[in-house]
Amino acid sequence: MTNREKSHTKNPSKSDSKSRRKRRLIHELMRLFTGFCVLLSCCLLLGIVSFIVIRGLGALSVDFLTGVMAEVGASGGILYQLLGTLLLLLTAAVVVIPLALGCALVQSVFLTREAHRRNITLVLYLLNGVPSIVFGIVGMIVFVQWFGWGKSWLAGGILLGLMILPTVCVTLIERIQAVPKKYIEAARGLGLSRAQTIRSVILPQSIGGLFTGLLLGLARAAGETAPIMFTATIFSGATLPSGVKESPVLSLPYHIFILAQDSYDPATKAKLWGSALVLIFLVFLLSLLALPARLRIHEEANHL
Amino acid sequence: MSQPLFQIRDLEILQTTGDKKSLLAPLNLEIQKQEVFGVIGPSGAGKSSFLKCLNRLIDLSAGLSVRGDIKFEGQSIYQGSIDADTLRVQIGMLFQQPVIFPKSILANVLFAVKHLALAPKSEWHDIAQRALTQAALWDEVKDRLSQPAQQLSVGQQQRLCLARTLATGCEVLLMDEPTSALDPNSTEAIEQLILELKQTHSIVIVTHNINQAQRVCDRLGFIGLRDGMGTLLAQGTLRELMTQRENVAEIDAYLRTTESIRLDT
Ligand SMILES: Nc1ncnc2c1ncn2[C@@H]1O[C@H](COP(=O)(O)OP(=O)(O)OP(=O)(O)O)[C@@H](O)[C@H]1O
Ligand SMILES: [Mg+2]
Repeated sequence: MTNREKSHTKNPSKSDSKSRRKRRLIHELMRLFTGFCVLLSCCLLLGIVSFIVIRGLGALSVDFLTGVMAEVGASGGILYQLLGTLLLLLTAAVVVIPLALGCALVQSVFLTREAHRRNITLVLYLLNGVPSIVFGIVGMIVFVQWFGWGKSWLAGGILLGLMILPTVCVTLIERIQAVPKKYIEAARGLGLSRAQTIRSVILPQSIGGLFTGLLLGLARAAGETAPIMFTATIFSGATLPSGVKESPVLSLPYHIFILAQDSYDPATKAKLWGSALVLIFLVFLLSLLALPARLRIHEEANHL
Repeated sequence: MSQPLFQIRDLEILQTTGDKKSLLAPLNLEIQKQEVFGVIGPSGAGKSSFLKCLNRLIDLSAGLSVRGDIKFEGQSIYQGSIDADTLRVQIGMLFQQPVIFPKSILANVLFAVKHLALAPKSEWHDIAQRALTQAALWDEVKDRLSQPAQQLSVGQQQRLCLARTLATGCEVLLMDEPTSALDPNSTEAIEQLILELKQTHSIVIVTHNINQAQRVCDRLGFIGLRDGMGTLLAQGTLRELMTQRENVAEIDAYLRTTESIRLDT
């Protein structure tokens, strides 16, 4: 409390303790509120996961993972759904890595005007805000109709790749901008060109960001149904694709989506929860893989 | 007299953003081959910026542009078609803080050699040994070349930076306060190196230490702040600068702020 404030009150010591009590109260209330928020989110996560685990664990077995679906999902396994989802994710990764690298390098190395950089960031944020169903519909118009691919795994992979481009790109940009300027100056001072500096200094120090972003992005893409349901995936009757045109794949999220729509049959329901459990496990695995990379980055940043 | 190393004509550094003022007033100067030329002056006068003009590292500073020209060994580096990257290979630079890449000692020495493909792989070891020996570091690190370079002391790191620059085979060295982060012993080591390298290299060094200037520099330039712009106010030997002290108020003020000096005359 400043002197001027004090002089306004008649009894400084009394009002002092009052205000201190008030501050304590606010502090306690804040702690309670934040604690409640943490507890709530943890409970929600735990609730969802344990719900799925309890219901899905029964269906889980080696046969479930390696078997082929039968009786419209009421029996058999999810081998091709799992492989299909993995193929879509792999394609998305292959699509997004060069795009994100190019985008991030243009944004943070090649563009020198601040205004241009901001424009690219803006486009990335806008892209991030595009609803996934819009990706699905635009993908259907472009790939299914214009290109005449029909439903194709490639279209789905490309769409998922584009959808996670902002995540991957922004993570990489953050890492590139965290590379200390002194390294770049030293490398250029030795006579390295911009391209050589990117290869020898900037990328080695920031490539971790690409993989962190990629894993986080893929974790999101793994569960998306909307971008692939019109463009890449069907419910049954597909194995691994052998070409591009008219070669859809099965996929976990779409499988769950269909089973959930008409699951009066208890056998089907068990399979539904089993599939959901596998999908959640896949997503957690991708996120967890991203975690060590992220922690390492924090350590590095603190040491520099 | 032979052709000067640097022939600086009306060199001016302008801010391209903000109030568009000039950081460095038009500057004319000649720096000879095989001499150690010192640049002294108060903080913020533009000594570092001036030094970066000599190898066009200033190109990296967003918001600054350069007018005028410098002839390096007779060749114009701002107006001609010279490649800035090639120029920077020929003109090495040392910074105030040693900049060590987070790699091994060997990888640091060979950094430019490797990434610029200056020599075939079979010669790398010899190049590294020669450069480290020139920088008086070989005996200290020859048994641990593959260890991380960050483990070295700051003084050793600065010599490693010197070795890294020498490994490119450059003949000109720019040094921006190379000893201001170092203890007296490391400082002496670097000064000793400068005196040895002088036989084979031309050196331009920015320093805040007038005693150091006296020990290593053949000639000096004083860049002071006048009308808010860095201005070359005097040049010559330290003795000549001292005699200018009465005429140029900025020099007098600067010398008063630096540690009291004893001139052995
Ligand atoms: N990229 C930049 N954009 C705008 N102004 C700059 C830039 N770089 C440096 N300056 C300004 O140029 C002036 C000179 O800076 P410089 O680093 O060359 O000074 P100096 O003489 O080396 O000082 P010191 O002795 O403290 O190292 C400073 O006023 C600084 O603010
Ligand atoms: Mg400086």
